[in-house]
Amino acid sequence: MYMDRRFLQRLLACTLIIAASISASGCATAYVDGALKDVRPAEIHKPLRPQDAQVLFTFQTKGTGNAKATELLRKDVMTAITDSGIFATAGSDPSLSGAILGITINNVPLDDSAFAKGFATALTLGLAGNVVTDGYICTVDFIAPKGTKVTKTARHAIHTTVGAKGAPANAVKAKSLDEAVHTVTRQVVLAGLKNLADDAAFQ
Amino acid sequence: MSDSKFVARFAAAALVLFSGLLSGCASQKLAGHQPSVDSVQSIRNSAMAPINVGEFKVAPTANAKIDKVVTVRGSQLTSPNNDSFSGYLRESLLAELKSAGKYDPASTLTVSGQLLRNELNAAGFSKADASLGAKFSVAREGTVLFDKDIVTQDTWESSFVGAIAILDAINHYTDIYSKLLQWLFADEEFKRATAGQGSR
Repeated sequence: MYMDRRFLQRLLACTLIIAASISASGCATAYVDGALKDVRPAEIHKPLRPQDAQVLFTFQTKGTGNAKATELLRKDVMTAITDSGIFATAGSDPSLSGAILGITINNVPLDDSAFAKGFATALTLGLAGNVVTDGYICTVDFIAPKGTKVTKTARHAIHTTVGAKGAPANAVKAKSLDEAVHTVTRQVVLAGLKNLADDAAFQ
Repeated sequence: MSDSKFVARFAAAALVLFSGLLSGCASQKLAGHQPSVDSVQSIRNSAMAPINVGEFKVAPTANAKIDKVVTVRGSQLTSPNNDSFSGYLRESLLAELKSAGKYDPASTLTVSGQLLRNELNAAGFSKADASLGAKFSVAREGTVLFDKDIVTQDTWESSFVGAIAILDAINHYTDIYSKLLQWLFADEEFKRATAGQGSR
């Protein structure tokens, strides 16, 4: 019984260390991937006669709708659409012109062992640093009133480092993960809209 | 301290420590329904006449509790629509119809519903599932044109980490309302019952 108790004391100590380190060593730093060029609205090819469009935005996590994130990022998406200048009016009203602009951002983990990496970092009190990358695939669908559909995509990524890990190459450090998500949303939507505007079928 | 007391205290301490790590342990309301491009386009392209949305409530044959709360790993999910999931289903249908330009509160054609099933099971470490079912009715000036039970379900990979499992469960559970409505809109009898006068 004495051995059992000593074993349990050690187990409790380990439990405390793991729990504390998971909580405390989570010094996560977010970096916005630098591969996607930050599109300035002035670089987007404007149509001669911009038309109105009903906007339908959905944020997905691994292909499944994420209603909370959709609510959180809707304003960023609407601002990017307005800034692009390729639509006269963009809003939720279905009677605007009959045209639909669908924006879908799908957040896909590019590394399935994110939790394992975080756990390993925690167990070593942050010494074994790790980087986890999240991909963001933006699909822009424009459906004209007569039903013609143009689809374009753009891709982006956020790298999150945990523990003693240097900055990823070709990435810009964000003040917080929250800021990184808002930046990526704006950049990937503008890139998707630029691809749309470059298509003769849209113009 | 006796060994048994020590073991009990150890178990309690470990539970408290890991519960914070491995679960969310909170109560939260679902976010509002988000119509998708595909669903809006399919409704728009259908021959559906503008329609009103009537009463949605829990079915008299179902347990009233299914209208109030579903749980996942100790976290409670509730509806933002008067804490009623039948109300959430109504608002989801309303959002779809409004986005497709097919909602008309003055229409004599009305769709209403009764919640029959509402389940979320995400306790397992590898698999989780949800199911949602409702009886939908379409009537015009008191004449019932459509009356059908529609049930849908979803199964997905879960995680032993509570925080991950809960977020996944919320997303899949919210998404199942879209799936149920897609089944409704694709139903041939529903299409016939809601078709515009010139389309029948």
